[in-house]
Amino acid sequence: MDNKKDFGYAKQTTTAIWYEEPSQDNPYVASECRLHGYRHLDLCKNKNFAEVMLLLFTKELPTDQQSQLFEALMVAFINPGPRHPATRAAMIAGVSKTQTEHLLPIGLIVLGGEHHGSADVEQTMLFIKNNRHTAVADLVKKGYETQPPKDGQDWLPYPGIGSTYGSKDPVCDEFANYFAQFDAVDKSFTWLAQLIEEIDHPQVSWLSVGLFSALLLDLGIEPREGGVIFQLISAPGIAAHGLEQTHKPISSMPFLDDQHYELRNKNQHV
Amino acid sequence: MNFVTKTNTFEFWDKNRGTINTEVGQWIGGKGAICHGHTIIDPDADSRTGLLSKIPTAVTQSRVYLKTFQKWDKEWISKFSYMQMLILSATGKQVDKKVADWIEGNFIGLSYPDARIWCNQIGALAGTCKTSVAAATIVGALASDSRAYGCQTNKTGIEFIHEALIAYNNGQSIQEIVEQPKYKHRFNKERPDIPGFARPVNRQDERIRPYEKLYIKLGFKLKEQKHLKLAKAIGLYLEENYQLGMNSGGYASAFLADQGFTPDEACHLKSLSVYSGVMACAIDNREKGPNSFLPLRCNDILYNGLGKRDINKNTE
Repeated sequence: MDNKKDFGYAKQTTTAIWYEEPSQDNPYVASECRLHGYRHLDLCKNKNFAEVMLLLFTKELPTDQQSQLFEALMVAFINPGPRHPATRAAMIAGVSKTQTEHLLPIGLIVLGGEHHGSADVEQTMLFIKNNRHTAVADLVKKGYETQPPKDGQDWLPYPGIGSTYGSKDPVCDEFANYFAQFDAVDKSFTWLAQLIEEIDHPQVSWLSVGLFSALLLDLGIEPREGGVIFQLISAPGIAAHGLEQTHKPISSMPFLDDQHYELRNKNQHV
Repeated sequence: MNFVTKTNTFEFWDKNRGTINTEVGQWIGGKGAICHGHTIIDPDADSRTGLLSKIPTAVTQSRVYLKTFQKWDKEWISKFSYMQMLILSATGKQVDKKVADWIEGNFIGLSYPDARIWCNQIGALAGTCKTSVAAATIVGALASDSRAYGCQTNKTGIEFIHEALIAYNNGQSIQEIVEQPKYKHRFNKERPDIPGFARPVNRQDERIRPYEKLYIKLGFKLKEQKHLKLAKAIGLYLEENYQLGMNSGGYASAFLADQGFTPDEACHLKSLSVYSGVMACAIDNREKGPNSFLPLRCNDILYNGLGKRDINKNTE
């Protein structure tokens, strides 16, 4: 019985990103490739990686100001650091002799999460996009009322801002101050900075995903793309840390002894 | 009101630093392992064996001995199925073997080795790149973490059937439940779009019949299964009025709801349910040579983007 009809599946895959001109003597081989209309080889000769990456995701080559901002952002977020769970996952895989080619995917899948990961970036970008025309004072009041801060816990009043291990993240603040000087920085960054200022809490400031999200929105990137770009830009650091461990014996990272492993009953609270 | 919390309060993080606190389980090196309070391998088995060795052989043949041994033998590795173990790990719940057996049947229903199915096609593509089988299998299973099919649909499926049963018990008819505006299709407002009651490729789901057969064989009784009973009635209504029917996910969601699983638990335990089919498709394509799986000519991809542009005109 043929009941597969009328589901509307396309006959061909389409893309608006990449065009391949088939060569005359072999239809499987391209004689020329174009990215959003530009000849690939011309891009290679004339543009840097950051410019072409923005072209990929926004369909247009960036202005010089946008390119400078994106270059700096790529450097700022090149490495989540060896304490980030995503990097740690790649490091553990590396030291435990996982096939080398799996190290980066392992780290990037962990980096896909809702805490400090690409899902977090997407949510933060959506939050900024949907609220950046709202007066920050109204949001601040709501934030304090709906989920007031608690002792000994991180306070995350809104996506992208909050405390890190109970305090402001000084490195993130330093980067935010640096990025504030860029010409391409626009209303998303300014609005989130205002929200942080209005919250006026000694432990609340930029979170790295908040800074990343605001800058990407100012570069014309959409939320869904933003989360994935966060993975792309973080990839070099995750890969490097993972690879570093592959050159060491399996015993070169801690394996907790029984004294540091506590199995509790469900009803037993620490 | 003081909203400022104590600074430099690291108690929470310090407590967890260098120590794993868990309720899930533990490997007791060289002795055994525990999962959710159950013994996978009994850490005290050695001392028990020592005790038993002192018992005369005549006694060890007796019914008393066997009964005692059975009482002591709590090791999951010899008493329970892998599916029961998986469910325990995913939910913390020990289920009857018949529940695990039905879920295993459901996993088989999600294991077709057909490389047209999205997750399997990803496995096949990984195979054609000669990606390792473990990686190919895991990326295919990861792809099924989808809103359109796979484990997430069990979450939405249980959410629906929970809600529908409450409405039904409150006196709403099946028609009233199904025709609610929130269940209208996003693009075609003429027909309902209910999790578990449509299928993106075939209208009829051939798995319902064997699921039902297995269900009866294992001794489940429909009259005791409120969610499945309602799901079947909804399926019938949709079939008669919209040519839509209950699909594998709808049946499984109702079954899992009847067994007391929450939407999240169902989603968790089904996380890797497609991996068998993915693995088959990956292995099938490993040795066929590069670009052998569904090769594409340049023109097979339809370009609908911007026309040719000259970069030099954009370069200042």
